[in-house]
Amino acid sequence: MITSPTPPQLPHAAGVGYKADHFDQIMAAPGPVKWLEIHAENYLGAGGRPKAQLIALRDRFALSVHGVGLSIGGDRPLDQTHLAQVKALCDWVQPAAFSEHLAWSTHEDGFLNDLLPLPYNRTTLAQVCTHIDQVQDTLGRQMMLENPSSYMAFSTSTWSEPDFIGEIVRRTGCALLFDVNNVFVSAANLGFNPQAYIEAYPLKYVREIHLAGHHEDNSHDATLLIDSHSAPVCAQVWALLDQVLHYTGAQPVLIERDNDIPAWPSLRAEAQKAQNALAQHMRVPA
Amino acid sequence: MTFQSDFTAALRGKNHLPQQIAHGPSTAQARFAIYRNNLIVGLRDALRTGFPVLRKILGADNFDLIARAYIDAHLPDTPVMAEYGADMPGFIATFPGIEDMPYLADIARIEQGLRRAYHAADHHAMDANEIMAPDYDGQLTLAPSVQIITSKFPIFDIWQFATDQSDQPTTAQAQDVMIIRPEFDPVVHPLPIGGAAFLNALIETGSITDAVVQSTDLSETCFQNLFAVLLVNGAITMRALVPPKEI
Repeated sequence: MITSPTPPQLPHAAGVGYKADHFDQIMAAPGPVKWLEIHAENYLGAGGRPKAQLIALRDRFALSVHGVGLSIGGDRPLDQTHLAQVKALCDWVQPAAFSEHLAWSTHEDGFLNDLLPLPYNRTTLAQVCTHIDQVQDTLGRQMMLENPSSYMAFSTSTWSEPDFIGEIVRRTGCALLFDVNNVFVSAANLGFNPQAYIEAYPLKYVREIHLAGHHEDNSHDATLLIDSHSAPVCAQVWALLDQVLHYTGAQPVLIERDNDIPAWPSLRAEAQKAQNALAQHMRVPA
Repeated sequence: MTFQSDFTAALRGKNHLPQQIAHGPSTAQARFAIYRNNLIVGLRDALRTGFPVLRKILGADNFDLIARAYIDAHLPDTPVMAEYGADMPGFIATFPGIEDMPYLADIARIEQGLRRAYHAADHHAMDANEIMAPDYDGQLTLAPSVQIITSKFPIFDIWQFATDQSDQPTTAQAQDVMIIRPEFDPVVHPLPIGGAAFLNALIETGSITDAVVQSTDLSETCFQNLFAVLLVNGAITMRALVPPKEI
């Protein structure tokens, strides 16, 4: 285990979702990038290059571990084997932060490899809170919960998403990872106003912000935005970021790109754009 | 049936929509199609990543057809996508229409072996002096990354051909291979006749001498060559002491 008496906090600066292909360039020319996010499920192997890269990266950058498979919103118990593996990774890496999604992905048939939506009501609230309590107790740290991108709403929802998430924070003491692109995508797909969503969101608990690109899908009867992480961040999402930062002050802001991954210089340029946006909101201590 | 059971059944089916969707029928279909598509595309991409050589041999369209059938039959049992496809060798061995390529199952096993080797635990690679020291006799084993794959087919030649490392398959003899990981990148290496038996005997006995004695099919020259390959690639290590369990 790497022991570190006080794990570094995520800096209020630009970060990127780490891709192994970028390793050499990130180490040689990180530009404004001060921290990296890794997907927990890609680093649960025993050794080899993934672990060696993590050791090297950890010496240079603050790390945020982002889980994509715990199925926090699932209606069945958490997979204890998987949770134990995530704990072992966090104990080993000692990341500055750990986050997961308000979504479910595992059912009795198996792992469905997607972040699936849930209705927001008393039953699901209790399930989500129980799972977050278990994750926080097991990891021995506060986790951040990420707001989802949505393609559909449910007739059995009795809470708005901001209120539902606010209540989760109140009950579990978790922090929030705010994905601005997810709000933009959901707003377009479900027909709500993203600015109003942001106004209603419990922003004071936000400790990390995600930005990503999406694409438009016209292949069916409705035009929908797909949260594909396959394109640069769009102008409207940059504008929403400004609105969010106005309330939260500077935060760790991450550029997420998981598909059609560009060469490092163009990802670094997007990180620079995030850094420039952050510079407008740096609060000078009195 | 719970909401998530119903949703999962709808995801894996073709027509029915889950209950509780707060949208009219036509847009509900379009919305739900995104989740159906995500499931298939995500898992198909994971299989493409895991089995690039299988895909090259079969062609992209045939591979995707088989991948789709595999996804319908086998959802992942863990969120670790690097482990998805564990049942592919057996699945492809009985897949209809490709009976004339019975070696595909062994190609799939090699690709799985490469992935396992890539993520395998690091180890102390012993040098020749350590290996020959009497103190360690009986304590030797292969590195966690070493994988042994036996075959009824000239699998190494087929592998070389499929990965553009040779012009054409040159032998009709059965071949075994091992996967070794010198540092981070695993490589496929041919095994001589008796080689796989020697490696298994080494794992079992912990002793080079005992393994040689047991491997009667392995010629002296072949042993020397194989031993050199293991040594150069740091593939021999010591058996780990089992640490006491933390309470």
